[in-house]
Amino acid sequence: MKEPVRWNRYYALVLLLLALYIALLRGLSCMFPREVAPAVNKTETR
Amino acid sequence: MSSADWIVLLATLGIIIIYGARQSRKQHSLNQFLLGNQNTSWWKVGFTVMATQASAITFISTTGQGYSDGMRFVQFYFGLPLAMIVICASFIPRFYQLKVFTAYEYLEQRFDLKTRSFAAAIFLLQRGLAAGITLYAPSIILSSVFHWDLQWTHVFSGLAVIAYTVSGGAQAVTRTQLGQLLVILLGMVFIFFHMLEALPQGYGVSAAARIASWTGKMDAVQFELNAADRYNFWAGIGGGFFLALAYFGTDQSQVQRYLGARSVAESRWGLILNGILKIPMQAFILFCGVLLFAVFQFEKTPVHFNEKLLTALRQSHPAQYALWQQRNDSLHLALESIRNTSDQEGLRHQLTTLNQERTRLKSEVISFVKSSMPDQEANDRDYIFLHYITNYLPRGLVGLMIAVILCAAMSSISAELNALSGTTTVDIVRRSLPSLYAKLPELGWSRLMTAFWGVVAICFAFYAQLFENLIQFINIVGSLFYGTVLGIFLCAFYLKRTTGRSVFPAAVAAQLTTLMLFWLTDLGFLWYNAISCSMVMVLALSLEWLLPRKADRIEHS
Repeated sequence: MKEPVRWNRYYALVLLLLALYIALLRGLSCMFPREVAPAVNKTETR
Repeated sequence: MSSADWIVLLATLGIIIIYGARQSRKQHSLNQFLLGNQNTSWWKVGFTVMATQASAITFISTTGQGYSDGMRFVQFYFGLPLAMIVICASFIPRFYQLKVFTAYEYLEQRFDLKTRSFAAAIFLLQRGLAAGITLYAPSIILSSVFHWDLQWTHVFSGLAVIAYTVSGGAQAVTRTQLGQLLVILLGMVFIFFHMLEALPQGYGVSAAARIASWTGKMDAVQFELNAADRYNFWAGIGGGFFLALAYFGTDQSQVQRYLGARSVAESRWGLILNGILKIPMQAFILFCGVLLFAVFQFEKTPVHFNEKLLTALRQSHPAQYALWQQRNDSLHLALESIRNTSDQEGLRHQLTTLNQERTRLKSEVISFVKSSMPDQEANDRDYIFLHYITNYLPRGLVGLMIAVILCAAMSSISAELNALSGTTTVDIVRRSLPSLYAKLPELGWSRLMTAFWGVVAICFAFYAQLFENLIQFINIVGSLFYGTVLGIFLCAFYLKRTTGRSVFPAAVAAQLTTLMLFWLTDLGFLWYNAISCSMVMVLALSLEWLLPRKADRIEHS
């Protein structure tokens, strides 16, 4: 009976880690924001 | 390559192949050959799942992607941890409960033989094609950079993989993959520090990120909803989840990795490890590409990174080539002042102008190649990282990096061959052709089938050169078939009312519709998964409702 409960906790931990990764990567985007006109990147990405 | 590079390359590959081949002494049964005797520990499951996915072309393309498009590709992996949770909770317990060798065996126990055979046949067709491309992709790059003969490169690398997969089975795959992943990660860490050294004096990780941010390459997460934008948070969570669920949950090359674990718990831990490590690993490889972008801001770069293409251009269109070279030389005249400037605003302005000019020149070259040399691959994204490896790394490290590329290719292809062999032996020969199956010992069949699929992959690789864009081709092939198989499995797990009589025709109809969509419309291939998966589920439910219930009871009894 205990096992499903424990696994659910681990799954929740994975979700928390995912949220942490997204927050960290978003933080990285904010730390180094784009500073030039978007047109430059647009041509670059093609 | 120097002799030091050759020694490092041959020693690294030699150790891995010999180690894999030594596992053959321990193979006595089908269970051992296909599932490694189901004694793989959780961390090995996690790492082999990662190594199976990390093929050479992904590994080289990811750095190229980071170089040209920045960090935002990382969002594509946001759905992966969610898919791992669903697989751990729903897929793994069901597979273990019925003690299956392959994922498709489960379908016979839940539905019927024809549904199982259909799913297995779809997998064999799709993965057999993919194995040829996986084998061909690193060969085309290696032969281009080192001027090796293309055909011999993929024949020899194919034979080496067949040798240790045939003799060693799943244990050889698991154990060699661990070594290969270690070599890959060590190689990437080495090259990361080497690139930091290659930056001008006084520049570090933060300065490189700042330079990359000027062209938006550090925009890792974007929440704006934009249907035209392939990589944003929503596409990553939604599309990425779907793709990861189909790949890790129904593709035998991955299912076989975690069915080889000691227990349900160890399988789950392995997949959780994959879910936890995948995003940081991809972010690191992408950042290596971003760092490479920063390094090349201060270096003279060629007009096109594919050296073989440049040689062809020089020979076929010497006047045009000379003109481009001249323009490229004049572009880089200001490099010395860029390197030594301390004025950040001035540097930003100079680099922005330089980048715009480089981009314009490359677009011209690519347009020219597309129009006048249509048989050549015009895009150079996959060659950027290789350009750095061959031109900037010291002796010995070049050999190590080539070993990394080959290791990534070999780890993927060996897992694919092992899965193809398992599915053919268990789902087709043993189940549907028992009299033929009895003529050889069961281990003999698995080995024979591994060799057979290896040869098929080598043959497919000969035809791969007919396709212009390998990454796109491999993704289209996957998307054409994944949705149907995922739909069948989702019916099995979540739609209790559905039976073989409704799921099989629904799956056939969905597969035919997907193929028709591919041939008759311009619909983006990423939509195929969602369409065919939903179609299988809706059609199966409708048929179940429409067909008489009496037949249902007979089938269940």
